[in-house]
Amino acid sequence: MNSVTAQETTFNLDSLNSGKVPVMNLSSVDAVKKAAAVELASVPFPTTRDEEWRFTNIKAISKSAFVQGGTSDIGSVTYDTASVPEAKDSTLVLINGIYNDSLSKVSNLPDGVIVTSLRDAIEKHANLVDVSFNKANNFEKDFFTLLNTAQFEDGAFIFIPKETKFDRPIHLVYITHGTTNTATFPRNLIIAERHAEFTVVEEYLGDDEQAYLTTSFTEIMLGEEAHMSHVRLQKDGLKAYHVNRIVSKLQRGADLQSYTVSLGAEIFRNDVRAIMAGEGAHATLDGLVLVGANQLSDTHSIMDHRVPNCTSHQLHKTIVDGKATSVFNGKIFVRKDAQKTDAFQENHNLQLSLDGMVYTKPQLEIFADDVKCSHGATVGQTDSEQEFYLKSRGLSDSETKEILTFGFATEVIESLPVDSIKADLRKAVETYTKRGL
Amino acid sequence: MLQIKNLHATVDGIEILKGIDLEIKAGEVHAIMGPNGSGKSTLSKVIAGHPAYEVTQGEIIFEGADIAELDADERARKGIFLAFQYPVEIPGVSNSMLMRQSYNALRREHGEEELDPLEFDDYVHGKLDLVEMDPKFLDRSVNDGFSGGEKKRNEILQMAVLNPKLALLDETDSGLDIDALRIVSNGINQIKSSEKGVLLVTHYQRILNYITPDFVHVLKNGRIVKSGGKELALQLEDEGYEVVEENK
Repeated sequence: MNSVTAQETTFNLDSLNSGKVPVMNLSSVDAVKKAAAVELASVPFPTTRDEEWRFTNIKAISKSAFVQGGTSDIGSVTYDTASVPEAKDSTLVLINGIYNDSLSKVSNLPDGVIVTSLRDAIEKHANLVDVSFNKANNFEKDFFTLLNTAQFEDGAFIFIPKETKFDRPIHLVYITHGTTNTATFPRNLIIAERHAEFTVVEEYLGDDEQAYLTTSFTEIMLGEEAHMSHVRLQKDGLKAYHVNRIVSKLQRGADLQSYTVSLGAEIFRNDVRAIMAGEGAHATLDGLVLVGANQLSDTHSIMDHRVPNCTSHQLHKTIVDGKATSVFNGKIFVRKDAQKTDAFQENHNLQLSLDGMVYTKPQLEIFADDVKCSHGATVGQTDSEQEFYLKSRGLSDSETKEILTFGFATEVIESLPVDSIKADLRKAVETYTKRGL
Repeated sequence: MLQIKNLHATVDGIEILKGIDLEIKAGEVHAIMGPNGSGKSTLSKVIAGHPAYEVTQGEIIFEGADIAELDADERARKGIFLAFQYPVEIPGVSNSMLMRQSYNALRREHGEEELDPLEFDDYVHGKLDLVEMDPKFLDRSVNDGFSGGEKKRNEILQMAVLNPKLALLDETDSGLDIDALRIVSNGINQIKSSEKGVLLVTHYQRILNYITPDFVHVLKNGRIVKSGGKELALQLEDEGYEVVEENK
């Protein structure tokens, strides 16, 4: 393998313009990577002067000299695939963005289903990769998408053939391991043919001691009437920087239920986008963000309605404690031809501290004239009548605050499709609500 | 058990209670009746400690101590329970979770061991029959999507679980159909005892066909204008509140 992923390559994100990129040995993919590297050289690093980054100061990322994470020195990393029992035989583990065979366990897949690393897929299923890779995305001069595209070495690849139902969730585990300033660039490609049904859980983990950067990108291509449940758990270490993008493209009648839960990282930026490309498609993009201390979590979403008769739904909830900041920018984009669109968006923010900051910006851009779109946003403390009700049952001020915070978060968690993850998240919310109270 | 002396209370600077005197002894059921806006609900909220109401004069003595300055949760842990006229919905918090935490808060107050979820489950199942409630209600979010009757039954279930010394029932009968009224009343009757006091706030006499009061008080314009036995309720039903005012 002709790879230029030397671990000693230190790069400064500000001046990443060498044009050198890891080689994947598939001409279409390598061409895209090279083009991304060239384009990246002319795209400035985002600052708060850019509208899309107005409230999200990421200067800390540009100032660090990151080292591309490698696969040496990862022998001590362990992962128990039974952590999510439903997926114990359908779990891929990636360390520093690179597939790890010994920790992964994938067996008894239905006929035709592929769950493997992107590098393996390029070798064995080049035709599938060729057709779909980088097709959901347009670059739009987005710095981190270009960076991921140029620099990724591996990622996950999932293919569900037509009329196939895969009952077990597919669990993708991303662990960052290494010394300070490890950078990883996982790149995932998920393809479902018509009438496929499946569930994918992406989970990002890392320790609290080291600063590291994850720049991840997931492309999802859903064929006609394909049904996908997607859970993305961001449980990074508290010094981590994580910039992620998910783009899903839905064909006629496809249905995406996507949930992002963000608990970790010092700075987290999440761009989620669903493209309704075929009539009758439906996307749900729900989110739950819990931040405290000095954390910053920024969700930018776009529901892109391109054709008629599609529906979209979004419930995004954040809880802000300490001096943390939460940003939500949710755009519903209804193009000229997308008549009879039915789009609904809600953003609710619970502010537990006076020092926390909440920025919320719902954005409707509607170019069709026969559509139903609504949005709403709230920012506030816990409700005083609910507080009195709980206190009249004997619960103290802090217990009341805990239970109301828990209830606020639960609405999103209860919709998740995997029971063990729901239970884990309930515990995580309890831990969050108890800290600092 | 409860002595209220010359109680004045305001909300947003407006005086609602204008000198209430009332004594409830253990084992007694008192009904507070009165027209809309008379201050009946305010009285129960003030006794329970709603923070929007300010006590400007008078005392609320519960078991020998003035509780007028205590927070609602402290009063609850001393054994005062308010069944709400409009029970509050708390999405995302299950009924069993709320009741377990509440019950354990009371147990801690009395120096008793907390119950774990399994022990609590056994305990609460014994109470469900009192209000003819399906165990499924335990897993549902508190009052979220409940019908009016279900909410009121849920209040009585919570009361049965917390086993208060003094129960304040704020228009628990309003909005109930006849079957639900029978169930709720039956639940209250099973919980009341010679050690408990009950203050029943109601607009109508009909719940008193199920729960026999020892005393009936008529509240008008923030004052108790008439007190009597259960026959007073029947008189009110026949003659209306206006007559009482004329008799004053």
